[in-house]
Amino acid sequence: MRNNIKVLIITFLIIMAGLSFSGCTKNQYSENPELLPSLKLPSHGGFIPHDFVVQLGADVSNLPHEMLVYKVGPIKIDEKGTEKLCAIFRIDINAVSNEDENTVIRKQAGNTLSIYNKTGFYEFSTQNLFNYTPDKQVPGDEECLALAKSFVNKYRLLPDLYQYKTSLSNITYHPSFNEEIIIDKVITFHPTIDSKEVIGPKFGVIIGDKGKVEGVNSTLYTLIPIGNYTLKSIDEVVRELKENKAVAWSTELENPDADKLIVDKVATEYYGDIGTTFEPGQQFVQPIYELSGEIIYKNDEKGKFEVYLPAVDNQFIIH
Amino acid sequence: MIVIFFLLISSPSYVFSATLYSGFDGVDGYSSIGGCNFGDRYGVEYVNKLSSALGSSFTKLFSYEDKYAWESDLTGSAANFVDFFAFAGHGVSANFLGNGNAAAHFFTQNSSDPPYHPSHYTDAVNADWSEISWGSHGGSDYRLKWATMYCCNFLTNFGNQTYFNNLKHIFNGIHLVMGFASEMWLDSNEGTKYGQLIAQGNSFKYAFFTAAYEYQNGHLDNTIARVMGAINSKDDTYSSYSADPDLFLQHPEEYSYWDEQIN
Repeated sequence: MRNNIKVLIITFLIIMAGLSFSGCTKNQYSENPELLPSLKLPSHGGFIPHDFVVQLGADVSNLPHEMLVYKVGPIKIDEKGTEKLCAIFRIDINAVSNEDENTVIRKQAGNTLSIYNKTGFYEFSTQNLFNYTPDKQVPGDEECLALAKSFVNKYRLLPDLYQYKTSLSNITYHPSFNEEIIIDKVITFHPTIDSKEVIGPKFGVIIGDKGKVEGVNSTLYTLIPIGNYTLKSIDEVVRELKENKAVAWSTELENPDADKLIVDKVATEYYGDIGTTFEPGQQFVQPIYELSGEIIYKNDEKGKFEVYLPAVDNQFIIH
Repeated sequence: MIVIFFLLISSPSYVFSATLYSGFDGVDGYSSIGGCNFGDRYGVEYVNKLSSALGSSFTKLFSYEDKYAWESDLTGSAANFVDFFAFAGHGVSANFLGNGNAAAHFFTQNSSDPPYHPSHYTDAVNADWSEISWGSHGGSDYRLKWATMYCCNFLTNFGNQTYFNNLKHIFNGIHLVMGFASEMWLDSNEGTKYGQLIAQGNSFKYAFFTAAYEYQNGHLDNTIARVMGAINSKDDTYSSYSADPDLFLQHPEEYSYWDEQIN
């Protein structure tokens, strides 16, 4: 009898816990909970295609109909966090050279650590950063990538909130037209959520002479999910494209007269503003559509393009 | 005393100026104001934020915006009358105009009155390399030391030696030119960041590369931020900088450039 009661109680608790969990997951992020400010994307510096026809050649059947929207939460660097950064970069915590309400700059032995109070972003640099000296030896790509990963893991510098994809690029010095010398390598950790990149915030480690860390740059923040938002239909996206509403383009060719856009791929990502780095920027990290493919110009030239458009349905946007 | 004298004559001359002047050209309304189908962008926002962030480091002499921003501001004396000049707007590469010179593009024709430009190729709306000669060697009252071209392709030479030689023309005593050797994006917050880093006493090179890294994201190809100028000026800050260099065309050995690939 006692055993039966125990089984009943345990069963009841399991069911309650299950119901509670399912309710939680269903209701944690309510549908379209509040109106969002219009997402401002950077504008393309080159020719912005206009007045073209659009041919949609991409499979859009698997695109999500809704996506989570996040509110930006700064990573506050408190006294303990400051001590940690100073220890990592071997700068005396008292070596403050400049301080105001937004920024604290510490300098010691040619090294500089700038911490931005309101955003939690920070930058570290040595005097060798971006500089060429004849004896500077920068390791190869794989070694630099391994060094950067080891560095961020050792000091737990990347928030667990994200998954990260990495990219590697070079800083080069050109003493004359035909000469190129690599003077630093930049390993960037791009934050992703559910395999979707959050374009904007990132974490960079710059490796220089003999594998030393010559620079670090963090513009990462935390994200607080606020709700699932219905996305624009692909028809709406195409309509906005045709109405010349897109500004965040990237085009392969420098040609002002687009005639036709052939969209080969449609994907969703996130766009996150980093403000001025001293002050936070747009408060919400919103989904965007990324369309890519080929532009055919009026003179029959063909080139690749990419374009970002805000993805949240316009009825949930404050205009 | 002897040591000090030796240092003074043997090292690059570093000079300090009591008052430094700045000037800006920013263009937003290519399409909405000028009917130019390049499309609007955030050039005015950028220069305004940059100017504000520079604070008291520089005394602003002018800021010409939209239809008041003219090609002649870059090709004439206006830019040369300041120590720091920045343009933000649209740039065309050395492939575009057909003369092997990249240019800053305007929608006006050196006038604030319509009709605006009849063609993208009109000379009066493109300040191209062959027309630009920046720096103190151009006149006794010319003082431009640092220019920032926040637009596409102003420093792109496509690996072409002729284009590279054409580009040398703009270096007439100017120390450094900051710009892009690719397409780029305009994010006005980059102006704030760049200006703050300069005002904090960082080198122009560090300030430009750091701001570009944070705000330029990789697209079809890598974005390339480029700093080009005199080797002696590589560590210039607004408060400590080298003497004016010789002309690039006559002394190429005194010049080099640095690239930051961003992806």
